Amino acid sequence: MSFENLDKTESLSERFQGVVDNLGGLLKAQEDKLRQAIGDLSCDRRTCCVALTALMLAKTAFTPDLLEAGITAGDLIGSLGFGGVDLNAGLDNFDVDGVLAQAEVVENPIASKNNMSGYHSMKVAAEAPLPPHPADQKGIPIANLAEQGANPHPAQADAEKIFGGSGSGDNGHGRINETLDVKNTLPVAEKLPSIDDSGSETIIPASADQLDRDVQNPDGSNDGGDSKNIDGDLGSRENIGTHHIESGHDKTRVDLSGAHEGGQEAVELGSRTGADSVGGKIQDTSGKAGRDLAKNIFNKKS
Amino acid sequence: MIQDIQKINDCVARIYEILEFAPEQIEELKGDLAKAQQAAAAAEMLKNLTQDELKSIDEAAQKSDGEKKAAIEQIVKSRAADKNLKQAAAIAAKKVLDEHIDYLKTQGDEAQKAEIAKILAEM
Repeated sequence: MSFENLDKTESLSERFQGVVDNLGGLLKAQEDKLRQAIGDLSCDRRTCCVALTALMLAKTAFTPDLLEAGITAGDLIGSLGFGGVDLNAGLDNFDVDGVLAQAEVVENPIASKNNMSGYHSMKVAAEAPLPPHPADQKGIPIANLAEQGANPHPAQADAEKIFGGSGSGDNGHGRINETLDVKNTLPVAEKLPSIDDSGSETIIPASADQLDRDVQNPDGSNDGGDSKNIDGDLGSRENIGTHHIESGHDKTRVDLSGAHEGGQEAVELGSRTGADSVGGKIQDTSGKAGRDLAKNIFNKKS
Repeated sequence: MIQDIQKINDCVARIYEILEFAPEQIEELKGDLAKAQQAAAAAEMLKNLTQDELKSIDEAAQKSDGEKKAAIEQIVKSRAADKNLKQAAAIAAKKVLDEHIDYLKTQGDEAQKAEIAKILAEM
């Protein structure tokens, strides 16, 4: 081979590479467009099916020209990252699952959960009405529940928790957040006065269970704003601290779990006494009567 | 404008020959060109699928492989006769070809460029 021919060979090689690069750039651009078209439909099994359908359509439209040129739809699928599949064998061998398995398609978690596609599951989720409120026995519109003195709808409460809103009912502004704050931020043990053997202070620590029940009942019973739980419940164990022993503003001050037996009994007695004495209506939310009685009983047992 | 794709491919192959590419190189280039054209056509067709077609594939895919395959086949067959869709796909593929030809026009010496111009005039 002469030097002249050698130069020509090198030149041809460069030219060929140039053409290859040009075609590679064109292919990349078209693949980007195809990805964009696929992306517009979101990425789930449905999209892959559609994408493959489009490829089949393309094959149908151009067969046999493109196939004779050595291109297969499987090559294109492979280049798109969907895994390879030989579509030349025809529709009978069109294995979508095989392609999807290779493509490692991420299922929409909502769709998987509901056995639906992402498109339909999201559509259903968006259109689905809120579930009925537990307290909405009379068909009260959710928006009016707070005004009716009832707890907000769970979804409403969540929204208010997130966005810092508040109900507009008897309990006033910030009710929900205040309740959540009590549960989540106030260290119970730190706030609780310990039982004093001298009987000077008889405060009964509330159990966690008790605390949870109170916290989950932001109906205003602790501040007297709601009469829902007053009648009939006054003497119950659940309402001892909130209504009678403490001022009624801070539920975390009441914890029955670590209660001294005598003190607890005294508190219960005091609560009932206080309730009975006022005909079932709370008049003295300070719980002074209960505390006095508790002191007496506690001192006696000591 | 729908052109004879086979004729176009033949013309492109002749241009490659004028540029003195080897037969195996020509086959490789034709394959790459076809890939780009098919991607363009597929994207065009994807954009033209109706919501009903999308829904039918989606619903069938949730039932069974057989129904899924049947739904796809049905769409493919129905769309295979869709001249408008074919035309849209062909135009998209033609754009790719035109861009590639514009590049090929810049290749080769003056004599080769003249030969390429003659071939392009046939297209």
